[in-house]
Amino acid sequence: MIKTRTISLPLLLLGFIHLMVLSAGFLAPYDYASQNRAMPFAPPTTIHFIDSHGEWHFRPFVYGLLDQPGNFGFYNEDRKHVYPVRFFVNGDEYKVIGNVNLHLHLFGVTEPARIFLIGADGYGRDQFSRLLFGGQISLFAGLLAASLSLVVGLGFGAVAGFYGKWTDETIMRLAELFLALPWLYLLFAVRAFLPLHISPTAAFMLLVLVIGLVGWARPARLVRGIVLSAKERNYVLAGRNFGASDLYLLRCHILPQTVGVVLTQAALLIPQYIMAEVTLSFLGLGVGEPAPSWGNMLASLQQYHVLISYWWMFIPGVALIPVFLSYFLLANALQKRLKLG
Amino acid sequence: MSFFLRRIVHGAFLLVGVSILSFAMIELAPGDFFAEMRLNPQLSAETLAGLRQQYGLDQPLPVRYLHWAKSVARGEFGFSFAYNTPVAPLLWSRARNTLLLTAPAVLFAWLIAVPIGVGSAARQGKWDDRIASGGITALLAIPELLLALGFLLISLRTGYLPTGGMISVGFSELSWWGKFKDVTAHLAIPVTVLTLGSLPILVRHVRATMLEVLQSPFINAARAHGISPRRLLFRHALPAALNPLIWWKSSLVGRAWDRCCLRPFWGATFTW
Repeated sequence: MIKTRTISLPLLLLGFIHLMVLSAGFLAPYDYASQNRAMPFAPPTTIHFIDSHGEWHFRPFVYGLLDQPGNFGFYNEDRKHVYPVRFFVNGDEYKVIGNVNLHLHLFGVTEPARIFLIGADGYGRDQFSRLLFGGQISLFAGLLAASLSLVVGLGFGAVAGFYGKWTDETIMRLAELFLALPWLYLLFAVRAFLPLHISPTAAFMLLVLVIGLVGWARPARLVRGIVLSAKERNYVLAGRNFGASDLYLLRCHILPQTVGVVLTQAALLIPQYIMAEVTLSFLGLGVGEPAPSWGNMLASLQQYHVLISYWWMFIPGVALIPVFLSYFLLANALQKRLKLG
Repeated sequence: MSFFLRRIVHGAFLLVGVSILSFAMIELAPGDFFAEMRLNPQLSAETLAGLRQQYGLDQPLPVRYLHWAKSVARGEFGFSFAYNTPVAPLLWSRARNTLLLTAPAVLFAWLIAVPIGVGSAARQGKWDDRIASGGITALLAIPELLLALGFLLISLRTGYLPTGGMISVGFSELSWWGKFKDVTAHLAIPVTVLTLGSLPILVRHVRATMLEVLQSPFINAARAHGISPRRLLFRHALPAALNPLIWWKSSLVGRAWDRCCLRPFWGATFTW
């Protein structure tokens, strides 16, 4: 008995997270690179309804920040002025697909106050905005790299299983080679080979290519196993005797059998690859500043004072938990469904 | 027999392939050991070229690879320019440290995972199995990086455990018991993180294989003989279930090893 809920719940959660990340420009109050040098490590902004005179405001508002004298990175609220939170405001420019420039943001506060829902980083950049924009890089790096691995793995696995003999032998030896290769060092080497500073887009594509191309071996082996058994089925033999071409047999009779395995592998690989991107960016080998990724946002935790003083710098790491959880639940549900046939 | 021969030949090919690829990977990176010396004004370009020639760096890659392969056949793995000694002793001392880190992690992960996995398989679907599975899923979803950062934060806040390096200052003056305690304190965080990282996968595998074995006819037969449930679990079912898990053991060592690559970065980070 499979409850459809077990598959649809993680799918819904993932869809929600991806939707949020995709509409980062609109949901985020600021641009990911807009700095406030006067407010490094500003804490999450408190949203008030009652002002210092005890007066109730129907519209929520925030206060400006004052430096705590002699205490870097800590602030008091400036209770003199009230800055109301406004919805559907104009702000920093952002681009949506097709290079349309927009200024509309879901919410914001009047200048010079800032609203940092989950605090600010060392340059006074809004963590919430960076989290959303960074998710675009981290989540989609995993997604793209996994699709790349799966496409390559599916191709090689199908060819190896279908043609057998020396083709199979060669491809499977190659797969073993890739399984034995330490991919971290491969990435170090590739990164060292390229110029010191490459654009975030180039770094992103490189990351996806390397992570994706190294990981094709496991799906290839699984697909090969299924193709091996599928090509001996009677309906495939019958199709062959009717004169069907190899390509037709693969496309219409054999590859549909691998869908279950490929989907399960996708649910397993994507979180792994997201983690790979996060780890590499954390080490400074992935996507570089000022473009945010959940990995390079965590990188500031390598500094002692950040690690012990500013808990909101952990949030990009915490954001990974619901993503991973939904992928694991999805993989579990798919695996169960696969076993039952 | 022919199966073993084939596997051995495959293994040999794999080793050669991996070593060639690793060589090529190192070559991909720009510069060589002497590139940094270019900055030294006291060394002329000719001297550097002479040094390159002396160490054989001017020769093409295949030639160098063959040289290296020959020396491996003699049991030497190369020569470190930086330390000016054969590389094997350098590797061994570092491998020892890595093993000191990974061996306890793998051991602890198994010691914890087997009872949890066996227990929750034996009580499949009951409340304790559910709690264990829930905890394991939660642990699986927490990235190891976050765990590591969290443990670092706790130890920095409490000041209870050292956060960098492997030994304290004045290590050589300690008694053997003091040395043991010192190294243990330094290893506590990384070992805990590595253990927690590999634990959930291990528990899930133990549980899954145990469930499979528990449904097999020989277990039913043993149960019909009136063997006690505990004996049934640990003497009859567990050995049968462990067999496919041995493969996992080997792969987990590799995984833990891989994670250790991150450790030098921690070390570099926390030497303020």
